[in-house]
Amino acid sequence: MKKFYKIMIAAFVLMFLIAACTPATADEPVVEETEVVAPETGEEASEEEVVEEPEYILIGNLQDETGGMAVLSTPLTYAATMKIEEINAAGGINGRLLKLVTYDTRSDVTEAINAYTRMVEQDQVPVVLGPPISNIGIAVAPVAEELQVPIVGLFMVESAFKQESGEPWTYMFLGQNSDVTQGSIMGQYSYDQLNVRRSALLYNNQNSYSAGIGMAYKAQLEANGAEVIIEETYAWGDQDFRAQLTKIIAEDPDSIFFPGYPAEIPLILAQAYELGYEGLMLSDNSVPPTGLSPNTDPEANKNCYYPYGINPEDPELQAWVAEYEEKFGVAPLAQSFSGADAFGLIVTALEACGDDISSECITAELNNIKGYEGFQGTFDMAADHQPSSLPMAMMKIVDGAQVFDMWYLTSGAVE
Amino acid sequence: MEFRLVLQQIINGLSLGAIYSLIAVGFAMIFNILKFSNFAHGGVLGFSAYAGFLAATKLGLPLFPVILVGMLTGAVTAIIIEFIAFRWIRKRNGQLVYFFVTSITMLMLLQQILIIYFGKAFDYYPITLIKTKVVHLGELTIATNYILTLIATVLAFSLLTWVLKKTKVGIAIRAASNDLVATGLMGINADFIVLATFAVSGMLGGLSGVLYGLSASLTPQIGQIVVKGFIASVLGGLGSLTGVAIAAFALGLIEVFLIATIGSGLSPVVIFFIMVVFLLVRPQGVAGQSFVDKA
Amino acid sequence: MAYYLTVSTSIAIVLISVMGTHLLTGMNGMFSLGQAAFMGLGAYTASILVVTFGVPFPIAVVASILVTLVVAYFVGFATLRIRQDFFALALFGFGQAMIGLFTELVQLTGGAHGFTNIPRITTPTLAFVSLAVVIFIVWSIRRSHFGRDSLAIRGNDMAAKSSGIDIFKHRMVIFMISSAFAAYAGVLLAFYNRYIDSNSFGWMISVTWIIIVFFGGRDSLIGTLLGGVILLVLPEVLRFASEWRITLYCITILFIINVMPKGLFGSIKLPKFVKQLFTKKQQEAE
Repeated sequence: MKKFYKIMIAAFVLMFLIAACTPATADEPVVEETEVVAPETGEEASEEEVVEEPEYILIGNLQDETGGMAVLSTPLTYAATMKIEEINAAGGINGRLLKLVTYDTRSDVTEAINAYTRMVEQDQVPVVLGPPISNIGIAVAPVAEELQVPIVGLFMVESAFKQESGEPWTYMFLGQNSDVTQGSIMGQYSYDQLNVRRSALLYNNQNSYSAGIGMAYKAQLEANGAEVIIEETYAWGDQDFRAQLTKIIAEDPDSIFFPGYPAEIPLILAQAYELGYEGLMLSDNSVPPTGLSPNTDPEANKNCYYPYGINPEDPELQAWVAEYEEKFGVAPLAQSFSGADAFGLIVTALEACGDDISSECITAELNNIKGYEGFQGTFDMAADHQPSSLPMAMMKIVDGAQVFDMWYLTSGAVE
Repeated sequence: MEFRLVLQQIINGLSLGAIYSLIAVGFAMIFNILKFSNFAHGGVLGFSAYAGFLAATKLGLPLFPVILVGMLTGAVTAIIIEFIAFRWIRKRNGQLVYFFVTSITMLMLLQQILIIYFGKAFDYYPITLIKTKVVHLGELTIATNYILTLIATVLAFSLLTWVLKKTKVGIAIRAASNDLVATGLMGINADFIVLATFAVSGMLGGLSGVLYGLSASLTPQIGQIVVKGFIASVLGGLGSLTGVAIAAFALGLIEVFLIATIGSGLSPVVIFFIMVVFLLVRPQGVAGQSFVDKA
Repeated sequence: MAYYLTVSTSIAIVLISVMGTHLLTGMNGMFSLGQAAFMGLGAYTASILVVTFGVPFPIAVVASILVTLVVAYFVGFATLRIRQDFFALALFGFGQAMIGLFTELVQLTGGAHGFTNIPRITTPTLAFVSLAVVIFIVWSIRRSHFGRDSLAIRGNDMAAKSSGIDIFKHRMVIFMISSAFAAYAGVLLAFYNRYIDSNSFGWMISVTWIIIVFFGGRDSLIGTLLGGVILLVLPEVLRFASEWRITLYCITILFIINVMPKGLFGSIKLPKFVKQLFTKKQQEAE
């Protein structure tokens, strides 16, 4: 029996040493039907040394694969995978093929820091595709400042890409509108176009995304002279919002703004409708696809308006959407489109860098991005590391399907 | 207007309580018989919810067959759990803490399996499964699903009480809940009793999984609602399913009341204090017998 | 190099909390789902004191531990006289309550956005030395009269009571020490990651610690430590099998609890263990 222990301990130690010393092979592009394909490097087997061959550019991918936020992170991996296949088929960037090195953050801050450190130090990635989870972004920002490898992600809370002083974090770049921008645009649109004057706010006060957008919306309304007459909160995992909704409806608001995640949006829509509310239901860019029919009763979502990153009626997008659905078996989320753009920013920087695939060059190029044409529109990378004046597509739901209304900025409608 | 608000909130609380009590009764079966908190019940719930989902979407079955599929899955899952997780500890007369640890590990395991297979997308029961969404009583609204849950709880409860009082198996189970060893000595196959208990608990878990899944969004973490069953069972008191049901309804009402008054953010704080005071003042629970920890 | 340091330091910090759980749940059989909340309490208290109020770090550490001891005292007072199940339930409720507080007191804690701008004060040295001190404390407790009382109470509390052990006092002390360890680990964590949010202190985290203790050996200090190292290092090693990793953990735990209930390393004490590596003595059946 003691021999067993001896061997086991030796094996574990050996395992750790081997794994630590071997630069990780990149994951194969993730396809929905199969499990994560394990690379040939086994734990105890003799490993093939996957040294960074000159033909490959490694791009780090810091996502939540097994935690509670996996469903929101996977779209980025999918979008990046599609883009990589397309680029590699055309010969890569300047003759180099792209490879994604994905590490799981498990929705845990410490994990994320370790994962980022590992991909920078062990795998020597020059650039990282970051997560859509703001808290992870906030936590990794100071580490990125030290390790100096840029991260382009969807962490929309301002403290993820801006320091307390107002200066941007040198190595953090946001690939979509921040929570403040999205909330403000929605607030302005609601005021101008929907005549919202007495709104209610229902948000998840444990979720920085929901809280951030909610607060920005409220501030924008108040700046215009309207008011939020009642605020209610809910917690992670809540499925029943009737208590909050009953209280809200009793105050007779003209609209309910409920920024949240795709899981709770259809529930809130259905429950508000069941409680007899007939006013406006306003939400954020997490409404599709769950807030649309057939997941939601068309009677319940008929007064629903929300901002979105793209105009889904755009015919060029339809082809991409179809390919995405066929490849991965799920409908794209907002994060698929903005994720594609975030990755596209990385690609643009890589292309501009030519042979100098270094973090310094990539960071400089990311700062210089002008007129990038993404799914979300054409934008520059502004000085504060978020897209400059990127309008959002204001959508409404008609007969259960989404219909485009107009492009909007905080300054008003865009022609 | 004020009155209508209060009344609607009471209905909301009772609706929530109906869901909790169904979950709690399934949980309490194991709690009463085997004297431990079976967190794995949440895994049973989750598996059944997804089984029902698959039956509804892939096979296109209507409501009642879907419920039956859920109950069957629940029973099977619970029995498997008994074999894998609890049997050996029970045989060895293990301490309470081992049951805690295994049951919660089992919950994590089942949740993780669900994450692997279902974690990449959002799933919902088809809205066509229940035709009328709500019932209106004057200006008050009750969701049909909750009425269904209430009926299911009452039915399950009555059925359970009848089985426990009137059938051989039921009487054996009640004997076992008093003293498992003595029951074994009387010639009753204790293993079989335990299996039967898990099967029944699993069916209840399956039923609650499907009914809860109908009104919720299906995520792999859906099983975590089992903690409500845990709370209701402990507060309800050992040895009494009625106490558990009452505690569950009370929990639903208190939660809604707190949200309506101080908001969802600070509710857990107040609930904690209520819990502690209650446990100090009435350690036998709502309707239970006094019980000393296994020595 | 930074990578190894980062991972080892994180592991060392978690092991400090795990030591607390080893005392509480391993040796004393008290199942608490709220220990991670104490970690949060320590983390937030120290961070708020240092960043918002400019209190020097050492004082903040002491203050955090004191606050935690006081809170633990009150919680213990209310919950330790009652049954096991009640204790578990109450600590679960306590954990939820703390998370609610952490998120609701936005002005103080940053709420959903978390608490940022915490200076990096925890060095790997501090973490490892702290772990060593904590291990020493636990080791001393185990060797002492106090530690043997734990096993007595766990085995048969009525018998223990009749031989004069004050169960309530014993449990209170263990609970307070365990919570203090968790709080201190929280301080170290906050000043290492430089960021904390309420998501890191939920009951699932407490569960992970309990699993580590039972995996390695609830009665064995060295077992818990080794088990902890293995379970915490494994994610890094198994990065390619990310999805199945937790499944593997759980299956392993179930296997161990059923087949080797004393944990992977049983109730092995260190000298005996080392001796056995070099001699051909027969291992006794468990």
